Parts: sequence; structure tokens; C-alpha cells
Amino acid sequence: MMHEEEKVCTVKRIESGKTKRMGNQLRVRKTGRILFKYAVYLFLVVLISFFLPRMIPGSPLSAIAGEGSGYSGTIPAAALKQFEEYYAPELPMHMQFARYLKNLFRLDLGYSFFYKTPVIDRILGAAGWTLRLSLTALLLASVIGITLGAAMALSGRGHGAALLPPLLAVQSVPTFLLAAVLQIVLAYKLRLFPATGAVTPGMLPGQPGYLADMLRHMTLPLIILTISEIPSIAIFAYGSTMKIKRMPYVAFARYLNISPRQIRWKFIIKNIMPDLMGKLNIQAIMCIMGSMFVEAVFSFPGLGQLLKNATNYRDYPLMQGILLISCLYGIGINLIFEMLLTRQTRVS
Amino acid sequence: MHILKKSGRLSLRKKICLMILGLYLLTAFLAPWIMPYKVTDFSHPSLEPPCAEYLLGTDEMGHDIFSMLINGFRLTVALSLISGFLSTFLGTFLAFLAGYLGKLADEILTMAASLFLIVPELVVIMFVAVFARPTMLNTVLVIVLFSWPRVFKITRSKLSDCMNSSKVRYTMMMKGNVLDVIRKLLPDILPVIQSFFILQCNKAVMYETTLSFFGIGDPLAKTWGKLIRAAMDYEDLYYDNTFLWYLLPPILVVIVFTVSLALLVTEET
Repeated sequence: MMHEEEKVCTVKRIESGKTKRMGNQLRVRKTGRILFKYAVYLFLVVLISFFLPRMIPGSPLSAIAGEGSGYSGTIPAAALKQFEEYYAPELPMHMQFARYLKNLFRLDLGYSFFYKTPVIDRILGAAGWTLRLSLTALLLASVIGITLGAAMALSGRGHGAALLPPLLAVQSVPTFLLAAVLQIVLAYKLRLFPATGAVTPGMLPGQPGYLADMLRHMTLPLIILTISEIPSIAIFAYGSTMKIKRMPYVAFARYLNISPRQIRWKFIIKNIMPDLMGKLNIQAIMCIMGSMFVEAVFSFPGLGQLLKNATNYRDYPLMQGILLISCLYGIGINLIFEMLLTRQTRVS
Repeated sequence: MHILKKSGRLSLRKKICLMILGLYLLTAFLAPWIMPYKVTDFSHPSLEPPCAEYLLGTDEMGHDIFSMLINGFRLTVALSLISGFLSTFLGTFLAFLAGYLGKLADEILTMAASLFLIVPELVVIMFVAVFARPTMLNTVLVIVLFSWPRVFKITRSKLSDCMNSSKVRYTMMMKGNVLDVIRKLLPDILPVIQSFFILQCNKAVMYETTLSFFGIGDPLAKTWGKLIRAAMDYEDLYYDNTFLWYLLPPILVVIVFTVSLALLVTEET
């Protein structure tokens, strides 16, 4: 909503006959404001990741600091030592926070209980798989979803609307359940795809057939993630195409005898793009979550697998690392899209 | 479909959805009488295939799967309704607060809502849930605490339209108190709140199921998500047809529930 207002605002100001320099100045100011906003967001996320675990009653961080923590049994002694060294629960709160910030700046996210390695190494190792999977799926789902949604809206006599209920239905199924069902049918029963992992165990990078093997393992998770992302993109594309279709200028173009083909592409499809950018922004974040759930089902070595182990073994530092990295991703994606949108409006 | 909507009647699709949801509610209420065995009873032979005695067989511990599934109706439907109601209420309340107080309160709340909308919410929910004590109440609280921003955002923009309507302005001018203003606003935003309530119920089930799949939440409360997780943890699930009565029933029950809820909401456009 805010994007819209700001956009309209900029366009108006630029159109009101000011010099180009003014526009430029405006843009710099706006960029500064956006950057500041995201810096605040980032700081809030760091605050949340620091304070929430310490505030929640019954959490290990508040328990370890107190007398007789019941956690010494569940967490191995060596890990507990690492844990205490990293979190230093005996220090006063502000000292802990200063320490936390310092560690973050040095990219030290603590030490994973489960993997017994620094959290940052694990996350960096896994993020590549997740990014590859989710961005490919997002690309596929955007192309298919936008085409589908626009086609539905432009179909004659509103026949396309019949596709809405099935899309809504698919959209409402939790991604990991979709993954579980398709895994049973396509991988375990029909044996069309490998059921788990990202490569056949024992395969090493560089070995002949490694790439083909990797692609074969990636296909099913990719298909599932794409299917789960298509509905919301398609529904959104349908909605905004319908909106643009009813605009007076489209009707006017018809009176002017502009060919339907041209109306379709230049008047309608082109104008749903800014709307869709906002949607893709949100979808990119949904997609990373969806990717994690699919990965967890398929034991795919991305962030989802880490998340599953982190929650299963109560690996708090790893959990915190995943929270930070995924929030950072969300903030980063939003920043990129918002910058793109300001840029676009300036050019137009 | 559109014509039916306009004339205020329910389409066939919605009738079916309502019927299914009614059945779910009924099952939830009657669960203690439908369940053939107690949930905690694991005295049965383990891993029985379905038969007259055990409609969906038994799990590896010797629990009757059918009884657990029916018990799951009670837990999950209740969780869905409660968290759906509370998060819708919280979102609407905060939206109203932001609109009524304006200025600083509005800005802070809007900023908080936008922040939660741009970070992957389920990761945040999981993060908090992992640190919290695993009880059903905490699961509900965490879901409510982090799913209001969506309600807030839309209701807030809807409210700001309504706030400027003449009847509200008039009430404000007459120094009407908060309750008066609410009474004037309610008819306008009730449809939005209604659909949000359904959507939030839907989301709550998705969240709970996903949390359970990741092993978070009260391990003793056997929600559908917990059943799915237990089935997926069983190693020989795909070896024969065990998954047919162990894994598929809870999955189907969840999917039918979420899909019925989703199709009940009137989609704009």
C-alpha cells in the first residue's frame, strides 16, 4: 500500500514540471529513507533474536542462567560449555547484548550442538542448495503462474474463473504435506524419482554423472515447490489483470479500433507488471519457506534439513542462525524490490 | 457463482464446504463417544493392519490409530478456532487502536506489522516455539502472536476508509466514546473480519501441522500434525502398505479441512 502512495507521489512531483535535478535529489532522499527503514528492520530482527529466547519463560537461556538448570542432561557437556561461552548467561543483559553484536559482526553465530561445527559454516554450506531450489522454482512458477492467471482473466465470457477454486484448494494445502503425498506416489510407489537426498550417497563432485544425478534428485522437489507456488501467483495475476481490463483506457482503446492483440499485450499485460512485482517480492519469501519444508521432507541438504535437525535436537544456536539468515534474506529481497520500484517510477 | 453471491445466497461450493466443516465440528464434539479406545491406551497388538476391531490398524506402540485420529479432531479443530479467533481479534483490535489513536501508535504498529510481513513468519514462529515450553497453550499463543499482522494490514486500510465516512466523523464530532465509534464502524468491516477469521483458522492448522512436523509443540497432544510426524518417523512405512492407513488418513483429514476453509472464503475480483 505504501509503495503505491509513494509511487503516485513521485510521479506527480516529477510531472509537475520540476527540473531533472530536483527529481534526482528527490530520489537520493527517498533512497536514503528506504535504506534507513531497512536498517531499522534489521536492528529489530537482531533485537528479537537476542531478547526473545531470554524472555520466554522456560527457555534454556533463562533456565541455564538460573539455579539448577535441568538442561545439563539433554545437552552434552562440551556443547554446554560452548553454549555458555557464546551466550555468557552470567553477564548482565547489556553486556550480553554487546557481546552478541560483536559476535554478529564477526559472523560468529555460535556453535551447533548437533553438527558440532560453527553455525555459520553449516548455514553457508546449506544456503546454496536452498537458493538454487527456491529461485528456480520461483522463476518457473512466475512464468507459469502469470501466464495462467492472465490467460484466465482474458478468456472469453469469464470461463477462466472456473479454475479459481482448484487453485485456491492447492494453495491452502501445507507445502510439506503436498511434498509428502507426492513423495509417496511418485518416488516410493511409482519409483519415478529418487526419494531422498540431493545426490546418490557416495557420489562425489566431479565424478562422471554427478551433475545428471544431482539434477535427477532435484527434479521432484523442484516440481513440488513450483506447484505449491503457482496458485497464489496465478490468482494474483488473475486479479490484477481483471482490474486493468476494466480500466476506462482499455475500453477507449477498443473504441479506437486498436487490434485486440495489441490491447492485450501493450494495454493490459504490460500494465499488470508493477503490481506483480510487489507480489513476487512476497512470493520470493514464501518460496524460501516452502523450499525449507520440501527439503525437510526429502532430506535435501539445504536450510530445511538444518531447520529440521535444529528443531529435533533443540539446537538453539543453529535455530538462531537460521532465523537470522532467513530474516536477512527477507529484508534483503524487500530492499531490492523496493529499490527497483522507485527506479522504475523515476524512469516513467 | 457471481450472481448467486450477489443475491445473498450461498453457492453450491460453499454449501458443500459448510457441510464438511459442520461434520468436522460434530466429530470434534462427539469425539469421546466415537473413539473406540482411549488415546493413551497402548495395550493393543502393535502394527495391526485395519480390521473390524482397529478400523485404521495400530501403530508401532500399540495405539489404535482411528481413536487418535478422532481425538485429533478435538485438538486441531479447537486449536484452529481459538487461534483463528484470537489472531483476528488481535489484528482488528490493533488496527482499530492504530486508527483511533493515529500518529505515533499508528506508525509503530504499521512498522511492526510490515516487519513481520517481510520476514518468513513460520521461521519466526518456529524459533519462538522451540524456546517456549512445549504446551498446547504456548503453541496457540505463538501462532496468535505472529499471525495478526496480515489481519492488521488489511483491516487498517479498510478502517482508514471507513474512519473518514461521514457517520464516523459525526460520531467523533459529537464526542462519542470509543464504543460509539466501534458500533458505527462494525457493519462496514464485519465482512472483512469474517473472511479473515476463516483464513486465520486455515493458517492456524497449517502452522500447527508444520510445527508438529518439525517436532515442535506438546508431544502428548496428538494433533493431526503429530500423527503425520509419527507416521513419517516409522521406518518401514513405505515397505508395504502401512502408509495407507497410518500416514494417509491424517494427511487427508488435514487437507480436506484446510481446503474447505479456503473455499469458503469469498474471493474478491
